[in-house]
Amino acid sequence: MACFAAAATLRAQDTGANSLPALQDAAAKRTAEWNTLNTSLEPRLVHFLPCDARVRTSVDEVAKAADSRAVALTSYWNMVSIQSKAQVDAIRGLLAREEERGEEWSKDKTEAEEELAATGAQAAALKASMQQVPALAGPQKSLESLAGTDQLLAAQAQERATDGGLLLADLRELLKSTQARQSALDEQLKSVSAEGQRWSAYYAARQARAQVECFIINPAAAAAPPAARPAPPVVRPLPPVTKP
Amino acid sequence: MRRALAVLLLASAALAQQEARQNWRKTDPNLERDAATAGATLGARADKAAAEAAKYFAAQKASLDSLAKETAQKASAVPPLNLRPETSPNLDAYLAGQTTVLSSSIDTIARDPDRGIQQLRQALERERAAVAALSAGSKEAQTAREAVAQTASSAEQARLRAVELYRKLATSLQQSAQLTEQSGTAWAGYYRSLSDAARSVAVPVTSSVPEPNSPPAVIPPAAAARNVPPVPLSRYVGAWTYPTVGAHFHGAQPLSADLEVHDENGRASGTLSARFKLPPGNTGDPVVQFTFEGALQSSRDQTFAVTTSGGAKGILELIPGPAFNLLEVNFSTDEKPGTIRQANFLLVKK
Repeated sequence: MACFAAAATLRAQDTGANSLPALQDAAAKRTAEWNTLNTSLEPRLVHFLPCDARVRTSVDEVAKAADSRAVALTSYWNMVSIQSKAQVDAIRGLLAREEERGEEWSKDKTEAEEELAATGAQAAALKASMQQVPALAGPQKSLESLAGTDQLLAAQAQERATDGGLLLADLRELLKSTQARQSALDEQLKSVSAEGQRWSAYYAARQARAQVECFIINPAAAAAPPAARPAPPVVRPLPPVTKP
Repeated sequence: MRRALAVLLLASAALAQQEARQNWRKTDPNLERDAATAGATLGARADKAAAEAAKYFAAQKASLDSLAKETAQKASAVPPLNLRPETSPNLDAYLAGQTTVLSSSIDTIARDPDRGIQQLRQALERERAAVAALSAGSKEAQTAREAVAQTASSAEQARLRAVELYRKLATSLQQSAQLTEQSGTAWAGYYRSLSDAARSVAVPVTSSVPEPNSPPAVIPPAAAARNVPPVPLSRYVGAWTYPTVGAHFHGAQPLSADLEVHDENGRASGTLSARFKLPPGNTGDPVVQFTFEGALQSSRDQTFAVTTSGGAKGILELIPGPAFNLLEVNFSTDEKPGTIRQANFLLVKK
């Protein structure tokens, strides 16, 4: 069944390097590393002369740490999104099953009530026979006890019919809220990507300022081509995990 | 495909359960009404109803068990999505500090006409713009994170409500399954007690019958002549056999039975030869053979003294059946343990 398969997918993704806790730990670690480098960048740079090569390498180092953080955060939120989608699918499956099952709860309740009525009718008929044959008092007592059991079964079926209706409403609400969460996650992924790009732009601007500062002091040194900084890794959504 | 199969299986189980219920309820709707008048035939009727009831309760329990299991599985079909709080550092102060420093630097060199310094001013302005974009983006990112946290919390609460309802339903189904099983046992007991009570009704007509070990009472022919059964003698006399289709019995199940009844001058005599199905593990003698003899009585049910082929004593009741060609046989003997000592079944006239 689709809902159980989706649940199995969710659980399978809960272990290993691609598990949510592992990805979150990695994101937290990369963030801490970047934050340390970023907040100490300017205090370090004030100690270097404008054309000191360490200025460029220091800015590059923080920029790389920012890229690593963006990759780690994207991986984490991607996995959250995958699991959230699997949950939405599982809920859709459950809702479809419960919509099919909806009438069955009422039918069970009706049958239980019919059983109660039938046992009552048997008890009434036997009571009439008991007037002629007192030995039937024992079976009559058994029937009355059985009618009591039927009453209990009917009450349970009635409660299930009520709960079945509540469950349908709850599942619809659950589907709605998980879809809202999915939209929020999609926005979060966009936000993480945009934040990464903004930090890249900032570090590029900081590097450009350092180059101008060097040019003012030593135009010849500033003209030397800077060591090419590798392009930031392209952050793509992770493929869905298909095995544990 | 698997889901369709599961739905189909559940539907077919439900159909089987409904059919079993209808069969039970239709088997003998007048059983209780006839309890006072049906006499010993009620035993066979109660047995049949009990058999159908057993089928229904077994099907109903299986259906409830299956549904309970499936419902319990559904309760764990949507595991929680555990999101830990975001650990991004708050960079507002850092960014504000950067903006201040950059703005101050820009202001300091703003009026310097040197070309190189103006290039620096432009670089600082671009850097300040990048920091401003980061500050604005930081607010958007915060909004996005809060939206995730809020919707995730709502979704988790809704999930917990659904899981709780599934668990409640599964528990209720399990309780109903147990109750159904108990009810099935109670119905079997009810039918047994009904049959026993009905049989006890037939006892008074045998009150004049000698005890199994006592010799049969010998009624003089003249006296016997006064005892005329209220139904034609053909309801007792003749050759009778156990039917292969539509057989009714209570207690030991006959595999075959043949009865011959003769009458002469107000007295009846005859033989019964029967073979029974023994319970599993019982290696006793499945065959019962006896002769009987006695005066015909003025009652509907006729009772005779029996002597088995092994020499044991007993009594035999012959009760005209619900149809003209049916005869109910009820016997008990003091045969040794391990043998068939009592039985109750309907015979059809050959």
